[in-house]
Amino acid sequence: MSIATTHPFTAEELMAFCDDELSTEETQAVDTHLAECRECADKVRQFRETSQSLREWSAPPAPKRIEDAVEEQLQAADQGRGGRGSKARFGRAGKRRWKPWVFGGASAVAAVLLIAVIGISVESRRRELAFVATNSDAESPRPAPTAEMVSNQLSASSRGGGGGAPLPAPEATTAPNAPLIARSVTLVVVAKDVAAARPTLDAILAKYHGYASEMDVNTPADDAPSLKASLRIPVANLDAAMRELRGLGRVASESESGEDVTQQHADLDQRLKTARDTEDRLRTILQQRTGSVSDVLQVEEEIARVRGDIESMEAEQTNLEHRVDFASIDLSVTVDYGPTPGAAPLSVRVRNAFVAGYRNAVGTVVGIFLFLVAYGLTILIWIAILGVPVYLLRRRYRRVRAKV
Amino acid sequence: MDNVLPAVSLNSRAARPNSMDQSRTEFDAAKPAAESSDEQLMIAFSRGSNDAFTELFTRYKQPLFGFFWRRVTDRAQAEELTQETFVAVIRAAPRYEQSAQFRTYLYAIALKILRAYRRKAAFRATFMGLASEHAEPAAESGVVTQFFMRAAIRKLEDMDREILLLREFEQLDYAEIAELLKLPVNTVRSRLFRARTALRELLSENAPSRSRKTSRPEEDI
Repeated sequence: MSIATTHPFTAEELMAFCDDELSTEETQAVDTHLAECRECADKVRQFRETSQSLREWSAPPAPKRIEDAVEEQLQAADQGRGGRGSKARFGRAGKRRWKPWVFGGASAVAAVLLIAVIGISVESRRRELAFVATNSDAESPRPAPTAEMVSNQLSASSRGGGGGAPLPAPEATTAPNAPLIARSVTLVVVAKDVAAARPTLDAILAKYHGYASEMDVNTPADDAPSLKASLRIPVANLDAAMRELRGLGRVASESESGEDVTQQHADLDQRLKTARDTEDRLRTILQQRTGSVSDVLQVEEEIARVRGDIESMEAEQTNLEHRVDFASIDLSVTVDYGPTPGAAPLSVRVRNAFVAGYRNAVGTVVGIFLFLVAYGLTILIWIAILGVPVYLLRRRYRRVRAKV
Repeated sequence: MDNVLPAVSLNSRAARPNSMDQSRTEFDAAKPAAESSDEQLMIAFSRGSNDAFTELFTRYKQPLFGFFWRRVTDRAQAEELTQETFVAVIRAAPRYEQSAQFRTYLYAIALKILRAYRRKAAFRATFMGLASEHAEPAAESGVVTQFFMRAAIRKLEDMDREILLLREFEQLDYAEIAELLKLPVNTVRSRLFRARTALRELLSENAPSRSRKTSRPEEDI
């Protein structure tokens, strides 16, 4: 049905002419041309013949059943509109009207609840952390030491500290009537090199006769190395040791607290004295008086129980005195590019962000690569197992779809 | 052939409103419904006039049935889809806003329902196989024509076929087809040209063998 290029109208335009889709001017021009050109007139005739033959494919009359069914729906709709006003006319259509509002409202309520739950959770967690931080040195709540007590203790300890020379071994610093303060310090230091901080830390401990009750050095491949330690330093050497520990790097945070254990110690003293008196009396009874075997055994059992209590209280007292004599330092050393928001200047933070971003990107790529190496073959097998039936079903679906 | 109504005569251009301006005028309840445009009737129906809907139903029952009858192989299914389309119009009436001609709106609903039906039917047939197609009664006239026409049209590409049917039987103009199928008008024109050319060739190929086929018209279509 192609047409020679000498004709002023294309075959498509002639078809549009047959469909009354040309403008008045174009229609007139085609009319004029058709009167002169037999070839184009034939094309137009062919288009009309095709349309005519299509119209022979006429549909049978629509069955009456359609009318009945639609009439039924119309009546149902009329019943639905009764009493709801002219706007909400049909039952189902009326329902659809409020559905978006219900979904929107429900979504908004759900969002608010979610935010509230997260907020409450974060706040309670924050409070919990704050509580733990305040009570990190003791299992049970204790009275806060008065400022006077702490300052007394600090001044007492500072008299013995300082200086670079080797210090004498610690002695008991508790005076009979002086308040007993268990001191604890939390120190976070950002160092250039965590590995180098370790020997310095050992040297400080040796110099001040302290020891590390716990030390944890982490050097993960994909993160910054860090060092965490719980140190015990004689109270007399605490200030001097702290000065040197601060020298490990930049101090990111430092906090110090003191717990007054005077009353606790006095109570233990009194209870110990009473228990020892009881033990003495029981031993006297055992030596001086006679009785049945069962009585003797009962007294011995009682002596053993009191002895156990005494030893337990002595251990507790020793521990209490140790806490007073040795201050506790929770030390954390991280590297320079560790997360120190707010403390480091912007340039350092930007650099740190680049370093972290680069590491994350490399980590992700390596992770994907390793995942593919580890599971790629398995994935391919599963694709083959599931893909073939899916492909066949899809092909069948397409073939069938053309027929329905 | 006496009771077979040609689709084009029921949905001829004469039955359509001349312009959108005319359809914007208010529906006059005192005036016979037959004199109102489709759009006026639909607006009247959305405001509660059942007479308006009855008139619309009368106008479009046959064209809509023909629309589905030509596109699905099962006549009962065509009936059901026709009902479904009118029910959809009834349910959507409260939200009706006149943004296009009513028949474009109606065929848009019909096309949506047809697509949903085809999707479901194809999915079902993928797993359960195709149901046997129902032939028109042998006594009904035009069976041979239907057979060849349906076979020829089925060979056209999906979109070309749809454009051709919408133009030839639903008598939609190029712009309406473009709006319905979300295509540029030029694409509609070129695809329609391609479909007509292909159909003409297919029909001329089948012409010599048509006389042989007429000897057994009761064969399944």
